[in-house]
Amino acid sequence: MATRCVGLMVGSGEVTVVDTQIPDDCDAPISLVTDVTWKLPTGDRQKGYETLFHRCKDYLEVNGIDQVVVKASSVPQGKANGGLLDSAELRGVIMCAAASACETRVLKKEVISRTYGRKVDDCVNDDAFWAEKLEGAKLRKGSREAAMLVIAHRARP
Amino acid sequence: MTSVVPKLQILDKLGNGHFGEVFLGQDAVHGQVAVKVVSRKAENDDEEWVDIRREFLAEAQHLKTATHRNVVQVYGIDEVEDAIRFTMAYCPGGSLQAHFERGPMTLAAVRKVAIDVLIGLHALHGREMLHRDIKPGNILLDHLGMAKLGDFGLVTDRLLLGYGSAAGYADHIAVEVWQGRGTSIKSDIWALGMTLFRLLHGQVWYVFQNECPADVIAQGGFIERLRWLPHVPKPWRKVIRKMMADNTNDRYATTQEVLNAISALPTEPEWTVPIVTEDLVRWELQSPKRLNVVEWNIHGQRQHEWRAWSQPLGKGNNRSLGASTKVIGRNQVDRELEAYFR
Repeated sequence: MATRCVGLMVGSGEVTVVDTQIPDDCDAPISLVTDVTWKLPTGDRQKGYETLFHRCKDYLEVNGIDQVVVKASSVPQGKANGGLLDSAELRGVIMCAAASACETRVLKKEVISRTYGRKVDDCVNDDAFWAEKLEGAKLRKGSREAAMLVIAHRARP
Repeated sequence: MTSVVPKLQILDKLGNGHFGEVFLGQDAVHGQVAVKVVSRKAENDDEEWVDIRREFLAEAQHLKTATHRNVVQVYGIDEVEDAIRFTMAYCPGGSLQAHFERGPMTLAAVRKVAIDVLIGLHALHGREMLHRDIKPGNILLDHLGMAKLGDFGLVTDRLLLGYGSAAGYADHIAVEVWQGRGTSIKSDIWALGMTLFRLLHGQVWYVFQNECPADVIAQGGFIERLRWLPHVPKPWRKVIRKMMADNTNDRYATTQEVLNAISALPTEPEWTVPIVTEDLVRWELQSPKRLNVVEWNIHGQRQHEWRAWSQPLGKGNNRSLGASTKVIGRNQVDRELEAYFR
């Protein structure tokens, strides 16, 4: 049976959500169900976190999602700033919400790169790669990294 | 034999719903509960009454699947003589109808309600259910002040014979429904847009400054005729207008889209509007040491004056922050006050 899998990329003020269906046939492309963004409400962050926690949990429950893949936090190459810490906070909230609703995996960028023997950023910019790997709804260019999580998860479950 | 399990006790009357009366009850398991009693009407013959009961039972079973923190939980349904009783979670904060009647709510309070309701509504829509009766009176506040949708799904198609005719209900019917196109996710979004408009403005402004919606929605162009309190920022107006767009293609398609739009709306500065009458609107904004006040005197349709000042909370002097130079017309007072609040 096909698996419903969601890739989540968390920024400091929003979450990119790529909802997909992974077919049983390993050679068949992944089907994109929807590609949306959840925005963190402005104002008090703690209230915003609560909103996104429930938004995430509800989405996964209502849509019967089997699996979630979240991109892990990584150590910055430059100086850490407030935005980075905000992202990490929100990422924790989203991981918690996802794990409370379904099986959740956290993938590091290096793991994704090793899966394809090339850098994630190369894959993200490669239109041919996406034409081969994905079908269905339209994927926004900015959401490719979130979709990459699902693709990498499928290749290395 | 002595009964161990106490029967549901009916305590005080809480109010009247669209389909019956609502009471506060005491249940052996759930404690305080709300009990909605739908009584048989004189015009219901035996066959019709059986049908109605069947429909309500089916709805109650349907509602079981809608358990959600932002939806009022229905615990059960039973029959008592010529009435049906729904037992539901009791929300001690009451409905937002009382808040609406009291006056305009702050931007922050309205946004919180909107987010809570949208999350609940998303859960309903995701289960292929519609609410079809979103209005302040059907949004209830629990003991923590969290908003929950109530009274949904109880409006079955067959019971909708009087759809659009009940007081307070017709105001929330989208233009396409007036035109006979039926309810949908988008008509729920429209009704929520209307609800937010009402909560931002309060009953006095809504009634005295706006045309009766039920009379004009069906003609189209309703959103252009809404009269806004000048402190309501442009981004709020834009989002509510989009929620209530006549053309359903121009309206938000999903609650997720509305949630994103609402999430980005500003909630500060947090002006309160303690006075709204036919001839005076007063705003207040408190800081630790001072109170900023704006007053708008409405002498007539075309005669308006406003002034703004800051007054100390302790000792000190008042400071003038602005005023109309003379008695001005409606458009000018709108422009000047909007500029002041910007």
